[in-house]
Amino acid sequence: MSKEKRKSLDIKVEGPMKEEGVLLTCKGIDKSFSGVQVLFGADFEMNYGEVHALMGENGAGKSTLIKIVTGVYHKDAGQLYIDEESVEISNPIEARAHGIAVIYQELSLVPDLTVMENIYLGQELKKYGFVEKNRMRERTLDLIKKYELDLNPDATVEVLSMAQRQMVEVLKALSTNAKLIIMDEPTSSLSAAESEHLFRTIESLKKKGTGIIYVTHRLEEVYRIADRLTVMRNGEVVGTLTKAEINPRTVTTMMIGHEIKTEYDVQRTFNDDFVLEVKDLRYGDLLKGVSFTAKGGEILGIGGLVGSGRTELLHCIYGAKKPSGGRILLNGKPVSRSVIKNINNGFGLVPEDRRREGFNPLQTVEKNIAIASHDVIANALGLVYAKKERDWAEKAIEDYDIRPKNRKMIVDNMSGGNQQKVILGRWLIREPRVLILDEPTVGVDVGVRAELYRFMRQLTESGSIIIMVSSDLFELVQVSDRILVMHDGVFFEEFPREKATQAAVLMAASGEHTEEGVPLV
Amino acid sequence: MKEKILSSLTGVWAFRVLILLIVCVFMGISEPRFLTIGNIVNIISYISVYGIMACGMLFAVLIGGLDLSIGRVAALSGTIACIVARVGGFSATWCLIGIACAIVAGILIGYFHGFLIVKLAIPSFVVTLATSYVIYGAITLLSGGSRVDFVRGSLMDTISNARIVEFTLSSGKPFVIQMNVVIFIVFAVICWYVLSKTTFGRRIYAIGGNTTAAQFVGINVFRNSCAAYAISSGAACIGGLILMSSTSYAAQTLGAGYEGMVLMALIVGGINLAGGKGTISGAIFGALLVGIIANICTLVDFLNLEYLKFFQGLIILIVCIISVILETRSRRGKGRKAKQIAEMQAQDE
Repeated sequence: MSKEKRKSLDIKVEGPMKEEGVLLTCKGIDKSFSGVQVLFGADFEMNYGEVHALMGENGAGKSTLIKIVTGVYHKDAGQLYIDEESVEISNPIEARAHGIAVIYQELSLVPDLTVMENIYLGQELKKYGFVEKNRMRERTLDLIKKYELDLNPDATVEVLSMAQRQMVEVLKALSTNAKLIIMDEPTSSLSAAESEHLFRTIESLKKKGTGIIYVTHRLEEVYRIADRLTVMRNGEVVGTLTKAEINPRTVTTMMIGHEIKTEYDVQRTFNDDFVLEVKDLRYGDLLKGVSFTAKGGEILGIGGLVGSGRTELLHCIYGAKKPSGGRILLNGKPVSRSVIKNINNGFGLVPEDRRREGFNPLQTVEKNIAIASHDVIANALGLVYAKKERDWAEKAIEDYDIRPKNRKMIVDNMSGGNQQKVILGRWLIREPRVLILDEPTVGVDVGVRAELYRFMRQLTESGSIIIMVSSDLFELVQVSDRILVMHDGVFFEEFPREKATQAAVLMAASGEHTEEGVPLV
Repeated sequence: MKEKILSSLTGVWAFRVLILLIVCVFMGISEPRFLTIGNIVNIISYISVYGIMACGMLFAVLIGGLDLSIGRVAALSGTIACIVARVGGFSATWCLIGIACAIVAGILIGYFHGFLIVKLAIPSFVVTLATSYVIYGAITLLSGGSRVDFVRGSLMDTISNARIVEFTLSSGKPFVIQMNVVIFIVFAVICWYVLSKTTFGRRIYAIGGNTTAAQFVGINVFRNSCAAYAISSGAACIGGLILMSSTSYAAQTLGAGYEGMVLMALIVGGINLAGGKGTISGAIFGALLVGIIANICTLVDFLNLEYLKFFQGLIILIVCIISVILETRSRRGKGRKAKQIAEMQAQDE
């Protein structure tokens, strides 16, 4: 930042002035990535002092639009206007100069520094090369007072709650005189009380004239704070609703669009002799008494928003997390709390984040597949039979069409779809009785997805249970035999396959009862 | 097959052999005594302690840890063995009891490390550095600060100095392979077998590669990590016993600085300090290189003892730099090639 700019910062201690009228207008924004168009003439408008929510499924184009506004991407066509004057924003620094600030999901604070130090990180107030701590503190206090925030400028960020950290991010934005703050799913890592805290901060900002674009998946938050809502789908802006027009049915229809659902031709039979029962399962604040029964041959889909406790439920069933209450029974017998015992009893888990939790990036396909089957490839003393290991891996590579067909391939160098096949194949080759899948097709291309679904079907045809958590509504509705939707730590609604629609599942996930579903609370 | 030969020529091992050759030829020219059979046997004997400790510490490094206490653990092991054996006047039985006590103590220290590092999530270098001071103090308390001699000719002598193979070469010089070399080779073979042929070895690599993923396939990270640290400390104990035997006494200063040398050996041997990658052969190669450099520094006359450490460090540093650069380059090259293959095959689909 130039000296001049720093000086100008010094003068405007007050933050953004309360202004009226249109703050930002996007007109006909187009954007393509390597030939694939992801934004089609997107229009968007927002005013000073407005909270404008932005919703849409994953891949709808929300992030792309925001990244164009903040100068991360360059638009192919269209025009941006700030204060009704056309502007070009070609990089994030220019965006900041125009008063646009973003608060990302992953916060960018340094945990070891104090609130004040974080706010002025990289733009410290200096005199003769010395940092002016007192002046920085004064100005931080001014901002805190002005927006009525509950923060101590000398507290280390490490000890703050997530909501407070977000306030620090907000302050950081305000310290550079931001008039437009973009929040990208700010509540996904907050508890209910913390979210409420954040909403109060947002209201305070709004009163002072700051405009806020609020990207979210949660309809209830839109009700709570948004003045207007813009919905995007497949790279297009479907429409903008005023506060009065927002209702769940309209919003979900706008988000999903026309639903195509392939009909079932096969009558599925479920096996009553093989059941997994979960009774009143509790885990901290996340699971507040979850109960369900899954039968042999069934693919049970679990829907709900990210952070609603779905992953924790899966980990509790698998034995990787210790529930704080409740019972898990397989055929009436309690399921062990030890992962390895469960694996030997026919359990398997495909975790949510394959890179961080799924595979060993340094090892070969062979080792990554065999690691879950030491009971098969080794004797009781723990001696591995190289030939058995090799045959086991080659069978999996063959059966599940893992490409390239090379057991010595380092998994890190493979495509996402094939990495997922390795992790799925590691379990499928064992013919598990209970297979637990957490977001099984994230980052997997369409062709491989169809294959994965086919493998899942094959497994259930042999009488096994599959429990699948997915945020992909299309996948959830297409693949599951039954869908349970989680909301606020309990199962909220149940959908039989015939009745499940993406819009209905989405509504239930937002805590709205639907006609299609069977209410469980 | 042709590709196999080609890749082995350009692979990591080709590079390792090359470095060894360069170092040996260089040494051979500058110091003719270097290439005598007697000296080569001497080097192998000399590196046996490094080699054993490197093989042991490899387990700790593979799970993503470090063990900086091995030098002090080695000293402790010699001291314990001698003090216990002294009770029975260094009779064979008491010597065995002493040795057993030393190794058990080492394994317990390893488990203690594992507990602190895994259960309490304290960084491994902090834990092992701290315990190394504690152990140093403990040795002083045990031995009263003075060295503990053992009776010559007792079993303690045998640990390092027993002659297993002995004959006279045609040149009239004796050719001797001592017990320490045999212990080193046996230990290295066992470690190699455990790492490459057993489920325990598989688990060690899995933990080092991705701890969370390892937990999700039912690996008990705590138990296996503890075992890895125990092997590291146990190996340090064996190394310490050999050291004690060859110097004919136990003292708190024996083994000082070995952790640094062993760590360097592992780095030179291509072991990933972040865990999950590395082999016994790499560890032995590293120990060999570090040992050869130390040996030449003692052979060459113009190097006074004061300069020895300086040159030793310098040469190892240079080898480390070259080794790390070449290793990452070859790995990247490999990765790129593999990615190309994957892409080509994906296009085929």
